Amino acid sequence: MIVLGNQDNGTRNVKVWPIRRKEKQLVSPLILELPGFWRWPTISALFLLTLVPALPLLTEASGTAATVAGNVFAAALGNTLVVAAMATITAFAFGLPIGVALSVYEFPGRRFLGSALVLPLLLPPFLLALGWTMLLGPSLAGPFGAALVFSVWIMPLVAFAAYAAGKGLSATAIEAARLAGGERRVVILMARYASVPGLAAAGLGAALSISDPGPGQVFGLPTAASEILTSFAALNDFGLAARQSLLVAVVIVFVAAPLAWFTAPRMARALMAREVRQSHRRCARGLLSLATFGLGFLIVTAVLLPILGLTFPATSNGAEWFPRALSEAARTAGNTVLYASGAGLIAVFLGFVLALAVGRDAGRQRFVIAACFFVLCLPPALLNLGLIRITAAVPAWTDPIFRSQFAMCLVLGLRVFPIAAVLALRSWASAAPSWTHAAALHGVSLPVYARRILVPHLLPAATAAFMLCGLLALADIGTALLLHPPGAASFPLAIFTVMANAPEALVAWLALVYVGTAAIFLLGASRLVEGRRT
Amino acid sequence: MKGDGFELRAISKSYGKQAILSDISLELPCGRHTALLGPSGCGKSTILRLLAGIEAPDSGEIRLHGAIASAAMRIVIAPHQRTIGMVFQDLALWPNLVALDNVRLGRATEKAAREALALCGIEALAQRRPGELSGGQQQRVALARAIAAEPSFLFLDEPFTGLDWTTKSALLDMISRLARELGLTIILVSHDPAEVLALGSYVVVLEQGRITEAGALAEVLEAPKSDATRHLRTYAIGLGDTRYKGAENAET
Amino acid sequence: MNRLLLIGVAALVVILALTVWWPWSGRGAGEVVVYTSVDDVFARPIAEAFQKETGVTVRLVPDTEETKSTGLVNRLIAEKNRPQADVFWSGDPVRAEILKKQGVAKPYRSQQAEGLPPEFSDTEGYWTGFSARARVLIYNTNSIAAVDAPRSVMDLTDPRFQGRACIANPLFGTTSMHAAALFAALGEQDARRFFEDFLANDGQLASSNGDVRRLVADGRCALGVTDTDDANVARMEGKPVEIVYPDAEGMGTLIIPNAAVLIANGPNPDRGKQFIDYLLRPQTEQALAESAAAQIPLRGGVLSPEGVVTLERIHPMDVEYTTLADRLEMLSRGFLKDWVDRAR
Repeated sequence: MIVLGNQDNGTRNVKVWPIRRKEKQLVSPLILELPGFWRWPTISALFLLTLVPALPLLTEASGTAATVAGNVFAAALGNTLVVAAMATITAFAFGLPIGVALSVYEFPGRRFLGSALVLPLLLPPFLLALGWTMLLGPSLAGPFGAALVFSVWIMPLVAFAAYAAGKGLSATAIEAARLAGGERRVVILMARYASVPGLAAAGLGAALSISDPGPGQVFGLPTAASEILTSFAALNDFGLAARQSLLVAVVIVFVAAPLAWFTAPRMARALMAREVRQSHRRCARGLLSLATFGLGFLIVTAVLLPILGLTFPATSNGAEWFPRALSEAARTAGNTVLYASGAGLIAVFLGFVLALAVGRDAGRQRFVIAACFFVLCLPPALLNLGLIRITAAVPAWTDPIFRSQFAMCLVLGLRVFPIAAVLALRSWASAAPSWTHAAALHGVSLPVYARRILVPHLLPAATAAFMLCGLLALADIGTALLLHPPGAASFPLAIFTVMANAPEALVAWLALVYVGTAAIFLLGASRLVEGRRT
Repeated sequence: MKGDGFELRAISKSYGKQAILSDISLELPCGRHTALLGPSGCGKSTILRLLAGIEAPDSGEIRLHGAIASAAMRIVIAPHQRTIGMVFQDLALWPNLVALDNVRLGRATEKAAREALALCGIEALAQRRPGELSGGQQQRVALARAIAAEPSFLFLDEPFTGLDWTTKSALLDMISRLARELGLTIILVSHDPAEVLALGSYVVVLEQGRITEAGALAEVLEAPKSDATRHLRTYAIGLGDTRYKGAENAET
Repeated sequence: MNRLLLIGVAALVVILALTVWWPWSGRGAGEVVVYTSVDDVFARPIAEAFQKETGVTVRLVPDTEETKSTGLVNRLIAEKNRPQADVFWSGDPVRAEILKKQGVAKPYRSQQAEGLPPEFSDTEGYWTGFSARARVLIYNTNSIAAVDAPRSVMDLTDPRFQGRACIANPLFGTTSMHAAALFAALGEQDARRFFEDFLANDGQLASSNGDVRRLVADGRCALGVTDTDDANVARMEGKPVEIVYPDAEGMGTLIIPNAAVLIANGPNPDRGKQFIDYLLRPQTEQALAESAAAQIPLRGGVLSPEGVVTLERIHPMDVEYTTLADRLEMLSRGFLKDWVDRAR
């Protein structure tokens, strides 16, 4: 300690340390908050990684003579946009209030509702569409049927985004709203707080649905995805399919740009770090309880009905197919779990790296959300066939990486990582910048900060992203068919390869076994998580 | 010693198109407790963040003990090497860590962390998370964290927002005592005249990103030139504070 | 926390090992990779029987219906430079012809092909036809009495069935092959008239053959065109349907043979040939005839169950399978695409 005299009166003890101590150089966590040269290259690298497999087909696209845009494709694209818009609005309208209700209130059937919400994500939209037609016949034909299927499929994303946003609001804010205007004010506050993440989730879910031809085909509605599938499967014209895919992606980016512009900087209002007290759920009473219960009942009905339609033949007349269904499940169980968890892990890792690279800059956030739209609405076949071309051109010693289950997990993870990225952006933005500043100032290194503070804060969002992405990845039958190593099919793929000429009862049992197993797993996981929290 | 402490030379800082600080030059020597006053948005907290090294100025220089600490768009001396402890406006306590871990996560040892908590009177709450503490208790944890690594400077960015007068008064007394005992130099950002009178010996007034008045507390109270210092003088008179006539202030 | 980190890293290493290295450790000469567009429920038992008999591991890769994904044919074409498959077991010869044109197939004349009629195989040996399906009419017995049963594909345009007939999307699968065959058999003009008359008769476009089966079985359509295996599944489920082999006195019933294709530059060509030999045996034709697929043996003298109509009892349509692929490509880009767009 050095003693200094001051300017005015006498000597006093003042500590002045040497400017640079001989201490271990540490990487400051400030790198996460300051502008840096590493951000844009990281963002670009992640999206390029997703798009590089499409390059072989995109280069083929430039040489194709066939025109892309004719009246038929334009009409199909129009149908696609209409269905996507209807699905976005409907999923948002139902998903937002139920997500808010799940985060703020206790009500009868709350846990059941939370588990039931996940079920649509387990099944590819085609199966949901089939379930509806088995129940209701041709009455759902056209855009309404397709929009209904996609709404039910997207709604869980909205609900979980709203739920996560609601959990981020402090008890003080909620209590202040309650004092100011009762439960009505609380609901409005929560809805406004959760609306932007919910809207972003709805939009991105709709983008993901754009590349799915299933419901359109079941309901007899020409869509861009079915036109692209025709180019691939019927015409074997990869170049034409690539051009059509690009056109769709560009149109979607244009249409979704206002959404990206609006939502990106509002993804989360960073909390004041002082506001750390979490609110406890309150029992919903009176009209609120009735409304919540009613809404939940509607949603559960919409979710369970197509599953019932799909699985009804199992119970009506086909118990003898149950052992066969179980044996298919056993045969593919290992690969199914591997693909889901591997894709989920990769999606979460890439999504959170992207979120950290984006940071809090509104311009970067807008670009990334727009890029997420672009990536999500590209048909998986474009990327998958391109990857197959690439792997066929490289030496055989790369096969353990590029033709293995790892490659499946990687491609599936790349496909759905934008969903994880949106959850990650929301979660990262809710971390107060002052946490990082305090860590930097008081000598906390980046690894310690990440391990002790950042990861625990991001963990709930990472867990939710892991589950959502794993489920969405499993539902991607197209990728599974094209990329799975011979003999390593997943259970959803097995359902699709069996269903063409299998008895209805077998298909129904397969769907029942799949949904049932996943539901038990999810229920167990949610109980485990809730148990650890209490 | 000449050159000890902070020196800002022609500092400017903007956020997007909005200019926050324009050509600020200021000396903040060791041993002189300085209070930064001014209306909201005038740049007080920005100055603290620039001094702390958690942001870089757009132009100008910041020196620490004569050496360049920050220059235009560059942070030369890392924040953790500037021997600063800071209590943030939002306290910046890490919510998943207990109070003890909040204090010792950085450079402070466990012993020093416990001593800091004891100095702040909350050693019994060491195993509680911030969410389980009252506002005043959270303030004390934040203060303990700021002093645990034996800094030279203590930055306080409106640290008492939302506290009742009794709690605030106790905290002010505690900080004054700690500053004397540990030889800390305080840089305070505040709207509250009571905090300025309790902790500051030198006052700097900012308006619209520029320094409009600066001087020793006694001089400023004697002849205020800005609304902020006039308000300070009125408050001091109301308190019966005689320092405006040049009596000794909080420096020792 | 450090322990958790170690556990996490260990788990990651195990997962990587499982996904990257372990699947490849057992790969070698003792296995054969078979891609197939034959339905999994029918192909898998054959593959398992081969595995049991020979000890050679079969890695079977079945396909989905074409309307549900881009399909294995595209995977084979994309893998052409370094294939993973040894054999492609096609459910129809058109897919096999496409592979031949794309340079994916390699000629192989198996000795086990003896007895199989040469008109159902490629003359250059790129694919060998065996065990066939047929394009049949199915009708709902609750909607149509036996005396009024349809007898010809042309009955789909009959006004008495207005609004009650269905056909799968002719851009995909065996329906596409059937459409090409109709153009070959009827000629351009008559074939076009058939499709236009179908639309004018308010015929319904189904998404797949399975969908046709469901529509007719549920009574939402009175009759439709599908394959024998679809029709047989409906009958086995006890649905009220009957099967008609159409145009017995006219252009005939389209026979769709399976096609065994040896993949050029496959990893295990000898095992591939061994599997093809197994497919082409009479015993395999018999097994496929006895399965729910009820496939028609092309060889004479193969024992078939009661419900399976043998080739001798069918008047097969006279088509050159090798030219159907070219005709189909032209139609898919032209008339059929336009027709499907108008039908939806």
